[in-house]
Amino acid sequence: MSEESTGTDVLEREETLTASDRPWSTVVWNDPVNLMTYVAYVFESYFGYSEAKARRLMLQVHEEGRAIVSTGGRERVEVDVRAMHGYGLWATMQRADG
Amino acid sequence: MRGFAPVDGGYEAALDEAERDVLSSAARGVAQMLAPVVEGESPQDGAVARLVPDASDDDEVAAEFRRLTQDDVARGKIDGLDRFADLLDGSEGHGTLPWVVPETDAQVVATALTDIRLVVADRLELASDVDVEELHARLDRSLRAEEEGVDPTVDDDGGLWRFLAGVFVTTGWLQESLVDAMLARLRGAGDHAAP
Repeated sequence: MSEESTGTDVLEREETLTASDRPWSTVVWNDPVNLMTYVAYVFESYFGYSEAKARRLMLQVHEEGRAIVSTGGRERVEVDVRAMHGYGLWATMQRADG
Repeated sequence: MRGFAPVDGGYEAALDEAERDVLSSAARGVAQMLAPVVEGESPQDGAVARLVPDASDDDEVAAEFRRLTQDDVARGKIDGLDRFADLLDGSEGHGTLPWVVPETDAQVVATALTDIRLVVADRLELASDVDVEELHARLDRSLRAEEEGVDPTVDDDGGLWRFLAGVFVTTGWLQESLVDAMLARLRGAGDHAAP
């Protein structure tokens, strides 16, 4: 999903490059249905995260309402969000800040 | 009903006939709700929209994502829900029977339970963790009243709420027992014999 620049001025091209290179994040949101143990299971089995990391992210979702669970290029994050939907978790993708 | 415990090659619970029927019908019902999504229709129903949610608040990103993934995600869920129902329908007989879920189907069963609960939660209008706590409290009151001889169907809606709340709580309890056992195995701490 890269944007092609077509020889406009340098400043504009740089902006395009910065925007298209910006990594994406997978965000998992809290919901009243999924159990804490199931969310931890998904983070451990799908992402291969350690028990401690999966638990920290699960608690962040539960207490803060959302957590970034993976980052990367757009296509990578699309794969992760799609997998989260497959598991029944509420997930979105967003451009990482900065 | 007895929750899941690890056994050789899988996990074993025990369900009676009515429990098996309810869970199997619920799974097939949710699978039916997803059928139009496989055909490319955007979800109209709120529960279906939760099963294949918007992936972004940016409309363009959400539409592109939906175009790329929606039918596959819905197809995967339908296959999982059908498998879940087939596994339940396989244990024929009367009374409470053991239900063995093979290791290879355990994740499918755990996810099918989530998909069922997402739809039931939508019907029960559960929007927050507080709503779920209140549901548990109300269900407890309702069960106590029943023990004291009050007909549960007097609970305003002919017992529909009681039924759905019962399904929601039971599926959560069943899922928790399964996922706890799966996690123990995943972490290499499991492999206990069944009690």
